[in-house]
Amino acid sequence: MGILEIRKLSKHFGGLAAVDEVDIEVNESEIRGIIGPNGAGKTTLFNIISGFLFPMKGSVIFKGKDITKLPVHSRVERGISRTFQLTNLFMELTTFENTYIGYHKNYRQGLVSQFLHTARARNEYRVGYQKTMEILKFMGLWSLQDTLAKNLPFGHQRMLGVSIALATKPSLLMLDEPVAGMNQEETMTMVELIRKIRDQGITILLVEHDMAAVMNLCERISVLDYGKKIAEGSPDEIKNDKKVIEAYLGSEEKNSYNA
Amino acid sequence: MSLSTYQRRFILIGILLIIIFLPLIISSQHLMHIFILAGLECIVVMGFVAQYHVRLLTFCTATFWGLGAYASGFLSTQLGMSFWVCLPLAGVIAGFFAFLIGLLVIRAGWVTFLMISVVIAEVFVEALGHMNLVGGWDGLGRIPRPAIGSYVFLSKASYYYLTLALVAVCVLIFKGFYNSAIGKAWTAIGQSSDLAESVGINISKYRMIAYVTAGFTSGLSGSLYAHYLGYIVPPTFDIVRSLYISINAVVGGLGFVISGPIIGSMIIRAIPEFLRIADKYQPVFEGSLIILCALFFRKGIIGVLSRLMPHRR
Repeated sequence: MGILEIRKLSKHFGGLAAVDEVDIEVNESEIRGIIGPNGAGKTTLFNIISGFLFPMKGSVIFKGKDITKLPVHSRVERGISRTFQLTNLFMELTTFENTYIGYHKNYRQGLVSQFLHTARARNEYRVGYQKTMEILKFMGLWSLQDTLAKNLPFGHQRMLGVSIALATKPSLLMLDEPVAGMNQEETMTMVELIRKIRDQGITILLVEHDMAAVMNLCERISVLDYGKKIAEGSPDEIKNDKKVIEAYLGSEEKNSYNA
Repeated sequence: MSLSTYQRRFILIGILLIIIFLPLIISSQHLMHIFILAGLECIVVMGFVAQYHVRLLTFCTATFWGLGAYASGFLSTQLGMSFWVCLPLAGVIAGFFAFLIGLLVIRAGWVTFLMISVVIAEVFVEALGHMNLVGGWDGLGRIPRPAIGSYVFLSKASYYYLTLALVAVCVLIFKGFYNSAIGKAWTAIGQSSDLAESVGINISKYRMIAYVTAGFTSGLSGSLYAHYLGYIVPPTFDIVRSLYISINAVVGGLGFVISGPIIGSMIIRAIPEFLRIADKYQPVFEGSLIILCALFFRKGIIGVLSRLMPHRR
């Protein structure tokens, strides 16, 4: 049984079926890609899994427990963490502070103890500080820790988005177009980082348009089109799948598929 | 030019000394009166800024202030309770009231929240006006001054110190929050609520903490206000008062959670007195100040000051 199971998930916006009866099972410690032409329902699916949207039908099961109706913060508590498609950071805070806030859910001390700065709470802050530093080193943002997020170059902002998500200590990390808008070099760095994150035992689920990156990175790929899952398999199987080729050739994205 | 930590500490100690010995420096009873009111008001403004910090905008800040004032006034005049019991009770009652309202509307969008706060502010004043138990529109009078044993806080100077003590307590409360992980969560929510949610911060919970804390401290301040004037009427705590409180916050600087409210309240309260254009021209003065702040000094007076004297981050 996989770490994440999606069963017969449906979400309609008005008359449009954004996600239609989708079944996906993600195994522990794999890198799973979700691809599909624009408007295929990838981001909707993402939002349902992370809890920003609720499905009309179907269920999301994480580590054997049904989380379909849980709010976002309870899902994070259970180990699901996500990044955003558009750069979404705490812009007025520094790189360090951004990542440090990501660690927030790991505080176990009660509100009173935090408010009074008890020894235990201070100890937790210290652990959080160290953990944050480790993540910044790992993501290569160590030297930029005092830079305000809004002043970071684009590539580093995306890295910071991943740092924040990592700081929550997730067991499932969901990346929404992690290399979108990045140049070749930045993309390679990010791909390597994602591999390293997986090697720590974190399951990765990503949505991406950059086919080269997806084919290079993912072990298995699920393809959505018009809200339905039309194919699933290894990168090679997907490359040669008739339905997939049709879906892509039928849209404007044929060029990106050939990459 | 940047100030060293040593210089900053020096300036801070200087300001503190002035604040502590103010009654000895100033002989004018009227000025002391102004400072007491500014002190009581800045507590409410701190509450407003804390709510703004988690992006809760309300027009009923003065309502919780009035709730504290009326609770304390009622308990002391009708039930004969001592001020020292009334004070914390006033805070708890106002805080509890905030909690109840929060349960109903804190999850709603900010427009709904704002509209509900307008309704609350209006209903509160109307309800008080029709409640004979607390004097209706005639107001609630003969609220006794606080006393310790046989010593009664009658003089302006003694009440100034009482106010100062409460301001200090509230500053400690708010500083405690801002410096803890709770304050970090508040900041995160203010900067990007989506991202805050996605790292596992329970937004409603942290908004509720800010809301109830603001209610509680405003209630405390209201209690001291009632016992200071000895006589309170419903319109003091209407929606216009809440608007003035938000003006104080903007003028002081919304980004400066402690110093902003203090300086903002001082300026709004004190400068018209110094200029001797009080009463008649006060709205004109405040109006132009807020327009100036909105147009040129987006970070408020403190923002301007800190730009003039850049200090180390």
